[in-house]
Amino acid sequence: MKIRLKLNGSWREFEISNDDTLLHVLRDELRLTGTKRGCGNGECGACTVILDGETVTSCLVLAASVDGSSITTIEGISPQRGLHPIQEGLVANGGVQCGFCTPGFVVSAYDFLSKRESFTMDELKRALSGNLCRCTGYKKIVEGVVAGAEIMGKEIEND
Amino acid sequence: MIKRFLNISDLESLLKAKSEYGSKCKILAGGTDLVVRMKTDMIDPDTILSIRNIDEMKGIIKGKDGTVIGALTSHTSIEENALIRKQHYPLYQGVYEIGSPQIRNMGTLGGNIANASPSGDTIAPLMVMGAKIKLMSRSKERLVPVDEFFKGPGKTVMADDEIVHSVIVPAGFNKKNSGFIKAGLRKALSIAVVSVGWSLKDDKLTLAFGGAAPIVTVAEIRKDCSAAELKKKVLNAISPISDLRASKGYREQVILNLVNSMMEALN
Repeated sequence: MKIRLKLNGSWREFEISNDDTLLHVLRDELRLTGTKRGCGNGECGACTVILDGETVTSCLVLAASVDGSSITTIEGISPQRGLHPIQEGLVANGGVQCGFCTPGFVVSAYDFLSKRESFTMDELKRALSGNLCRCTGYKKIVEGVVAGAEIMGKEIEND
Repeated sequence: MIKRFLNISDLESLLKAKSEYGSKCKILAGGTDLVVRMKTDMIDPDTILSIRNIDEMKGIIKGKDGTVIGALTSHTSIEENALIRKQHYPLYQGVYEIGSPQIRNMGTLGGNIANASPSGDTIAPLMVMGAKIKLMSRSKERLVPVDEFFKGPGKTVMADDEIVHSVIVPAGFNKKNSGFIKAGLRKALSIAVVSVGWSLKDDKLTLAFGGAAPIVTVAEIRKDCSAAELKKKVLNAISPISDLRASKGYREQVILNLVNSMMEALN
């Protein structure tokens, strides 16, 4: 079947098969390989994208079901040149080791931060709880996102 | 292999398609259970009815017999709704505990019910509040009390041509007289090992147990009953299995611990 998606701001039309996941279409058809395939079961968050304004695990989305939707991937968040403040914060704070989980974290953090002017640490941690990192802990990742939030002018409230 | 994929955007077309394809089709709402089961080859549906665009089945409104929650309302929308938090506190706690932000954005209340997992985090809350499930087919609609809806893991009283349209939940369940506690293996992204929902009306305590029997089960006890009687009633109500998440004995013990800590907080 043919579907239309507003992908990172521009409408695209392409042919898919009924069984294709959105993740497959993004990575293997459109070569947008920033979105990663981790567990394939919606448990690790590496494939997180923003679908019609909300984060989803694209490995569990059948592409045929989102005809006409708007999708933002990591390629739509990261600027053409340089880095997004969240990416800058992660780099500066050692929040990236192997980097496989990083795009998913950036997408979750971006969605969370772009919807509010201020937040508590508990809210931020819960917003990132759907993304797993297997290299290390989450301390540096959280610190990196906080640094990014500060660059973006967001305020951190006490819990 | 999906032979037929239908994107449906209104209720009437859904009821028509469901009566036509019946047991050959699967309804795709959030996909958080269905797509996983398709990927692991547990099911191979011939026809998919995708309903994510049926806006008339989304939303939360105050009705005269309670709050009406559309089957396609996402867990995130339920969690963020002020009426749910004030009047249906166990359901707020239930959806708060589901999966992850991404899963809560995708997953729907109707999906959690129709999927009929004994560990579904919305089911024990709906049981202790005495919710009713509104089923619809092309020819009729009916209201089924939630404690009569489930027949086994993945099995319900629904006929092949029926869909879950909405859930009607009586109001008046707040933080003080009701709640839901879940024990998982980690905080986010875990399926409940066991869970307990509770509500108190006068001296009668209603308990519902998730992950502890083929369906979510209920026990009713007096608030001031003895510890021995409480233990007996709880163990009578459940029949847990050993599986990859926990053993039978562990599940029994954790349920008893959850009930005991809840009773302590209450008294």
